Amino acid sequence: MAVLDTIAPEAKERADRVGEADLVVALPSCQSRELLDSVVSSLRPVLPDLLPNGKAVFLYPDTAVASTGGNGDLPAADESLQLFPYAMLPVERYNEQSLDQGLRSLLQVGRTLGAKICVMMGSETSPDSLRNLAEPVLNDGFDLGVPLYARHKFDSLINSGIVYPLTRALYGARLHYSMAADLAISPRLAEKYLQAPHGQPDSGWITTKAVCAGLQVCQVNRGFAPAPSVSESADVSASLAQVLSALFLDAERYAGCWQKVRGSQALRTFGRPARGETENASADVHVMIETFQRGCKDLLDIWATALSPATMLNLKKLARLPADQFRLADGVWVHVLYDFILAHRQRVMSREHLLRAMTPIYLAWVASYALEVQTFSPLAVEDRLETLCAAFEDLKPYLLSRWRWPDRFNP
Amino acid sequence: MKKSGSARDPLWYKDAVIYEIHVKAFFDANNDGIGDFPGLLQKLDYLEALGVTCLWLLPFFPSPLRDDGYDISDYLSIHPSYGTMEDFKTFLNAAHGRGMQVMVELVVNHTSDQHPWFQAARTAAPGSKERDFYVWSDTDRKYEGARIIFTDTEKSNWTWDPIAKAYYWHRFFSHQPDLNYDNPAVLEEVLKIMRYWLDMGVDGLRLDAIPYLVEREGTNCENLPDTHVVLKNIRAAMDENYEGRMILAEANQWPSDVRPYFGDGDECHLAFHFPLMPRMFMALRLEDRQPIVDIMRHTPEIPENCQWGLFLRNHDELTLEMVNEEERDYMYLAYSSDPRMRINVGIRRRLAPLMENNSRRIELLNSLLLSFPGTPIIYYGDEIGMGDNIHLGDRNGVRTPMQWSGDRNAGFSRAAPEMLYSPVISDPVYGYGAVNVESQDGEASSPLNWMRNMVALRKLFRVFGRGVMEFLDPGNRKILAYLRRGEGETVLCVANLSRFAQPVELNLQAYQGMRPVEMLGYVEFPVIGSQPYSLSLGPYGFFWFELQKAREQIEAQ
Repeated sequence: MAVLDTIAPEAKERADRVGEADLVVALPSCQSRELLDSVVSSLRPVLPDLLPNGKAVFLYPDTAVASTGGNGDLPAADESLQLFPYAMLPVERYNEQSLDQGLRSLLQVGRTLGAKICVMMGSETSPDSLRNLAEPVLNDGFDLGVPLYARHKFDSLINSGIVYPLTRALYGARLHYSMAADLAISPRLAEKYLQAPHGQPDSGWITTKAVCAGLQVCQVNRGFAPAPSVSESADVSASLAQVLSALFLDAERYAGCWQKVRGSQALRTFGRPARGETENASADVHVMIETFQRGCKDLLDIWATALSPATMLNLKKLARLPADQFRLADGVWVHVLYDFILAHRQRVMSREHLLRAMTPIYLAWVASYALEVQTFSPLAVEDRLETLCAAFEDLKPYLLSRWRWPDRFNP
Repeated sequence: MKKSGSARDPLWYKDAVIYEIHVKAFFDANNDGIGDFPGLLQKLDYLEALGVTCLWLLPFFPSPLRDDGYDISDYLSIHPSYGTMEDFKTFLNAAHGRGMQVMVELVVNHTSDQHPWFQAARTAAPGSKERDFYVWSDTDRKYEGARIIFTDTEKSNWTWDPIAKAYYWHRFFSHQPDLNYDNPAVLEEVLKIMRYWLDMGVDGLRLDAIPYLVEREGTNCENLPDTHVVLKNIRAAMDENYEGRMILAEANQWPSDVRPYFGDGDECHLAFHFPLMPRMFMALRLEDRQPIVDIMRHTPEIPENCQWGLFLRNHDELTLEMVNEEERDYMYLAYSSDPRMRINVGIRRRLAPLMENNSRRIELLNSLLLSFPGTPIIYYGDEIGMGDNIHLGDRNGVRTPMQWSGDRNAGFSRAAPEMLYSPVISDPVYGYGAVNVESQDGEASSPLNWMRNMVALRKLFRVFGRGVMEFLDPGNRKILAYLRRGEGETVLCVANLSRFAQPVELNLQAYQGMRPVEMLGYVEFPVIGSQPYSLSLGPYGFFWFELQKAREQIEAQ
């Protein structure tokens, strides 16, 4: 099968000069010389522990040097560590394309150098992060190491309310942060990722590819999630559309995989989980509820092209509830997501419009969740989200039946 | 430059869903009334959405077109009506880009009498290499044991050539002289042709009329040992230089006679299962599974790397060569009330009219096609229920333009209607106003969407392409029930061949504790117990069940 070999000629030359390396690390967030110097200095001491007598190559964005006007005074390279400039953009959270671009660079260089492991450090660049992610792949035979973050109750709600429960129900792996930007990757997975079955890159999240290929995936406890390295758009609608698009495209791409999966399995997890403390945080949900209610008036026609009549009815009822009773039942939320997946697959309308039209319903879920968990302990929050995941799994036959037999004449 | 094959898996043809296409009939991009490669290219989205994975193109080579292109006068070019070689390559690459394979015809039992080889042979000296490209005789009494295939048009397998002053041999039309495989130069030329298309990246070759390659006195000139020598040479030449390619054998013979065409896995990869096809129609009409079960029980095992090619209808007549006389009479009475529907030894009709446009019958037969052990082949237009035109000559009534929309010429071409290579179907039931892609595309319950869903489901379960088949034997013979096992999957198929609802009790003791999950709607049925498993099926109803471990079993594990 074809494997795309798009490694830039100058990078190939450099790789040829280096010859071989055991570890290749991508540092796309090091967009300045100062940052690069500091990160390299902090990571260098980890290398002898990870790979005694091994050789490492760090890929850094070629703009990091260009921005300071030249090649001079790069952190010193030696037998055990080479630095390698490469065209690389920072990884944006939930942005599959930005991760894909960096991953391909990393994995192509890794393949050229015959690396035993490639590590993408898209958000965290600490020595612990490198060590913790790399060890299970190097020492325990895993193909993919993914960070597992502790969460504050209102953190990463797109992940908690959509990404995790949906990917878990679909692919059967309890992988909490499938869209993480920090990853440790085995050569076996790298080869799969670079395969181009039809002469074109076969994109999609690497985590989904690994799970569907039956490769060994593990999680590594990494404390609380770091702040995104790149400033994120405040536009919830755009972020949501981006996430949903990536998820829904993967659902199409891997339809043959997830339709065979029943239930879900925990993954081996390394390290100690961080403990959250009870928070008395509360969120102002009024704007969200108003946005939802406005959506119920303005977007009804669009929703009706995607949602089943029963789900529409439930949303209309919800829009009439006062804030103190505002609760979006798990079953309704799951039906909304499953119906949108199907509408996206069937291209009932412009996909961009369709995905953006989901924003008010997502905000309704956030509002409902926020109201419900505001007094919950961290453990109770986890239980609550576990219940949501169970609803996604229980209702998966609904998605399966409509996927296999798409028909708008449904409940 | 030699291109590699497009498939990842060397056994890709086992999982394929093949779609048979006339280039001339599919879509006309240059508005001359004849379909072409640029037109086919425009319709790749449609084919991708249908879910088919391999496109089988009927002959598109230069030809006098006296046998719909099976009379080839140049094997290395494109018929100018269908476009250029560049157009073909563009199409081929685009199909590969969508993950589809492409199969073309290798019609090398015979050529057109207009082929330069034949023109040279007739004037060449007897005994010369040129003359010996074909089979000549001073008498028309040789090989008298060979039957005549086109009984409606040919009286003999020999035709006198006044220029050569000799008879030449032909198993089909008299304008299609048979090549002489006793001349080694013929095989050399055939291999050159094969390499030419494989170098271009073509994934599969359909070998036309292979039982007739070689003639020997005192035999019926079919399925002879020397024919297999030729095929082994062709296959060896393919394997030597090309990966992931496939040969499909057209051998309209009994399964036991077709079996040698697989060799030890060193001849053809696929071969049509001709006798099964009429028996599916017969079983449906008789409301009795016996014809199907019987022929499948007489179907021998084939090598691991080989596969049967299954079809309901194709570009030819519904051939009745592989049934006995009584069965043939029954089939004629059942499916061709009008004598004009008959041709040669068969019935020249499409699937929908054969089923009297009954959607449940059509769906039932397609469910068998898609779940039987083999690679299903769908004839273009059958997915939307296209009709035929028995008033057109030969088998042209089943080769009419694809019906894309209710617009002029069925949306097939913007040419003046009188310029079309064939009139479109325009009767009130099957005409393009009633039956077309555009109207069915957006209708969730249309035949087109039904087929899309079924093809997707078939592709989801590799057991259909790779697993073994085991018939169940319920008392009610109107019910056909079978298991497909393999690839870690077990699927139970149950079909009601009757026009009335039917009960059935199935012996599924070996699967006690498993839960049948109806595959189309993902509906869980009761767990299989120690008693016979009872089901009721509506008229022409069918079920596909995935036998899953019951939840309780999983939890216990």
